[in-house]
Amino acid sequence: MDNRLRVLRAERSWSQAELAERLAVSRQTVNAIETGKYDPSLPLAFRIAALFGLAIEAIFTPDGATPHGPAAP
Amino acid sequence: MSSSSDLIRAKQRLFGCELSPNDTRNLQRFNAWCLAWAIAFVAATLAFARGGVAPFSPAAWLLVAVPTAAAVQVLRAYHHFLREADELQRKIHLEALALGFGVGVVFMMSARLLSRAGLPELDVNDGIVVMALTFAFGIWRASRRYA
Repeated sequence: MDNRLRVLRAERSWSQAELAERLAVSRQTVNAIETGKYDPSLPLAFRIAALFGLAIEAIFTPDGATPHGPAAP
Repeated sequence: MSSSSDLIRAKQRLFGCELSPNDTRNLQRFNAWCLAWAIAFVAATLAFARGGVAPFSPAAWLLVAVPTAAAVQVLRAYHHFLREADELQRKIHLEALALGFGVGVVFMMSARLLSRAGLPELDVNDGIVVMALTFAFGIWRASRRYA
């Protein structure tokens, strides 16, 4: 699953540690999500979406898909 | 608790994982119960080895009950840690538990067959050591994967 977490975090000039604190997770978790090594649980995805004021599908997309768009063939 | 914190920090450096303050606190509790269990277990083993404890006597039951009670607290503390853990930490620990349990079962079943094939019979403690080492390896491997 692809995500825009790193971009959204950079737009707000937050460090990984700051974002982790706001989401009540470890910095390792934020890093693993940003690098695509770990897909967050649904509750955490909702927390991330709420924090950035976006819909989940505007942040997380299936591999190769664009936000809000269908998956690439 | 500072020595326990140092121990946890050393583990984090070794395994390449990071813990939240809540996870650190819960692991400190788990480590403290592990230490209590180890002390109670060694003390009971030494008391039985020295002799003088009559079978089925209140002292014998006490020497079994105290380490067992501490062991139950270890399980409760670990369960508490897992339930409250950061979700990536929980995934890392569950993967390591699955690896440790799986390898331990395969090792113990194979060891039984090997002993029938003529190799020296292994003690149940050997299986526990294999489980523990595989669990530690599983934590290290999963922590590296998600680092």
